[in-house]
Amino acid sequence: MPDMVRIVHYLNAFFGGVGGEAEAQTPVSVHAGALGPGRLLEHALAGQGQVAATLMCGDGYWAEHEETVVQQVREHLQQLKPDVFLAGPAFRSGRYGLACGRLCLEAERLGIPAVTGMHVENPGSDLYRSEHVYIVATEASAVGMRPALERMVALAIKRARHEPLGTAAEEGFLPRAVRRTVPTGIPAAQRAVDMALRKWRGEPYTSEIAVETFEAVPPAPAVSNPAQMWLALVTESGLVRKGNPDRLPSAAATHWAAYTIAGMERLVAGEWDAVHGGYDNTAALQDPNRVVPLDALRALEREGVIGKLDDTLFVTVGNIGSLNAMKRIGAEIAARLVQRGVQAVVLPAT
Amino acid sequence: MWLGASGKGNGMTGDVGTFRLEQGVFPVQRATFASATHYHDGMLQIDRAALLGAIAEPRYMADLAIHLAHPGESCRIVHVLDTVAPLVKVQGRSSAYPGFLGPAIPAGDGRTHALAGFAIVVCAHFPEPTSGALSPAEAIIDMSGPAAPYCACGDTVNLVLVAQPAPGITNADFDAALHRVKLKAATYLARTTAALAPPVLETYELHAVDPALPRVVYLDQLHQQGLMAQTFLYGQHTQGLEPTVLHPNELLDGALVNGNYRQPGRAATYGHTHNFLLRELYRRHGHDVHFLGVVIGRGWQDAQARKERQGWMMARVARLLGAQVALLSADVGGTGGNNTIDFMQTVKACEQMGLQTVAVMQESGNPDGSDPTVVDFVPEADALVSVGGIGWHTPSAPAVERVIGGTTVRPSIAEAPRASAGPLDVECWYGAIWKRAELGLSAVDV
Repeated sequence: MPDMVRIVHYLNAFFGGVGGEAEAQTPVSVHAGALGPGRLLEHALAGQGQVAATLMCGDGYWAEHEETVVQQVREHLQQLKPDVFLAGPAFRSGRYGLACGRLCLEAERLGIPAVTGMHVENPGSDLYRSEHVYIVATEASAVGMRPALERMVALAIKRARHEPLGTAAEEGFLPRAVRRTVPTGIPAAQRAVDMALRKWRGEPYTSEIAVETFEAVPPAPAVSNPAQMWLALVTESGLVRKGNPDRLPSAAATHWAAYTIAGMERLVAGEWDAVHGGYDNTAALQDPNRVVPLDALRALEREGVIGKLDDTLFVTVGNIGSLNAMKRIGAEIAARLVQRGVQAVVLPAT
Repeated sequence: MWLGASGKGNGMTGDVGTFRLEQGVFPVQRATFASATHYHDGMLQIDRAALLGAIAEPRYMADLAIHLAHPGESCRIVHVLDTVAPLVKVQGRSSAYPGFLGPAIPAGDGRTHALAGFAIVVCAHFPEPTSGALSPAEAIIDMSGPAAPYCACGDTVNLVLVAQPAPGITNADFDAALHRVKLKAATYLARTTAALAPPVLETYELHAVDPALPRVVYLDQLHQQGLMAQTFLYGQHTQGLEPTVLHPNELLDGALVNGNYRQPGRAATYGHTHNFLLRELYRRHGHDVHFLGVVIGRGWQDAQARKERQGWMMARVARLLGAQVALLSADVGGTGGNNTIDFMQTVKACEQMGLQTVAVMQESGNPDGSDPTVVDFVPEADALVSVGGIGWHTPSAPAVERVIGGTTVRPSIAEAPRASAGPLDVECWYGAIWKRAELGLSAVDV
């Protein structure tokens, strides 16, 4: 636990004091000590830490050379070895917010705790909160500089010292898509009736779960010439080889399995189990082709309607699937399919 | 006022058609096996052979073992299917658990005697193979230790029935026999108090209140998918149930019986008679709410259009009752995958029909809480109460001296069965969702 917290601070060129037309296109530079709002930051630190270095970059340069800037900042951070990385605050400035969010994410990936600050409507907020970055809520403009820095510093000191954090509301950061169960001391029924009465009376109340919106997955365009294509069968139906050798769970899967279907005309009952816990598996056990229609695809293959069916069946369990786990499983399976040259996938719904 | 309207007759039993329930409460501190069945001053003596004779189903069960378990004992109950509160109707038009133990005459009137702090627990393995959604999930109660507070009926004196199916019996027949056995046992034991003066007498009625109070309905979404995943209303499963109105007293008297054995956090017959939202609304009726009644409906509808329809059908009944405020829960607090969609559609429809709506939900996802914790949302769901469910490590349970219900447990089908008496690390114990609601757990952004 460091007594004196060592900070590296990121600023855009405007707040770094670069004026005129050069400002936006300023490339990454390193400065010893605090710069611009970094001085106010040091004041807020009140002797608990100091700004060892300031990294600065123009927002325009960032927008046009994002990956280059990321690489340079990563190298600086690896050399400077701060206890905590602070970026901004960016208020409602879009490009600045995007830079602060991304650079905090990169610092965290290097094992360096990071804190930024921005207005909730900054595009960097939506993008990087979902990546679990700590973003202190600020005013829309630099009028709110002092309170923003004070809250950022308070959080940064705790993170640098690996002290336990309070809730997002207590610490003043924006919800970052990480939830924890906590005791309230008040039964749910009482809280529910209390909330309902406040709502009915038109008094303020706080929902304990915020409505989320989910990323839309647009359907892929139609396959133009299936007769020429190499297809693979992928399923989340939990249809596994008898005995479940890969130990797929009935719910909340975090891995997938692959089974050969080479030379099989159809899936034979008795050779397969269905471990998915979200539907009645009886019909699938009686005839596994009902959830993984190998028989129908073989017929289409013979008729020349589809080109070639891949020899491997990819299987996971979709029931109560974690979105993150399912994204990863999908990407892993897709990478294998692409690697072997498969051009289309049949993913039957269960 | 609708369900409370009693016309004339404010006498003890009311006139025909009223819903005025007196519940005589007989607390149980200790139960023992004895030569006679008898209740006295917190002590319940049970003649095991006589009880077995009264409840046995020899055609369907090769064996029915009866055990006792007390809070604080180093004891674990495994393969739990359901828990039931002992109730007997001593005066009034219906039986307790009507539709099972008597004709399906509306319950909720007259006098019921209840053993409090006591539960019937039924445990069994089914004879035929089961799979997927229509199969029992392992559910475990610890009677002491760090996990006990997270187990429904971990704090009640329990009479545990462990049933073995007779050879050649189907799951459906065995399940029906299990319902009869647990409910017969519940009434058999509660009957020990029939002639006694209750130490506590509680009266439940929806009396007239200040018309300025907000008119509130409780919308209870039930679990119904098929055998092993169903809820009974007056003895009948709720597969085709359209939303309907119940007086809260009907639930207190056992109008709903649980036949759902899916996730370990599921509803219980005990949970239906002790429904936490219903009891809270009753407690506050006339103080700060005007409790109109309960609307029940079936969740887990089979298609999106049916889920949307279900939401509107629930909301229209609530609106036609004259409600201004709607409180919702599902399966005594448990929302997970599929049924969250029906639930959200009900929130949406209620709000769109002008009801101020608050819903109680569980959350789930990665233990680190970094996944979305609810699978479906509608923009109208702006007042949700969480009972938590993520990132809360339920304490590991140490080995126990005694196990009732079986020698092995299998909390996950991805893992091999293990010795049921050994140390256990279980995220969701029996009835854990309902316990989390009672304990006041919630979830926050961190």
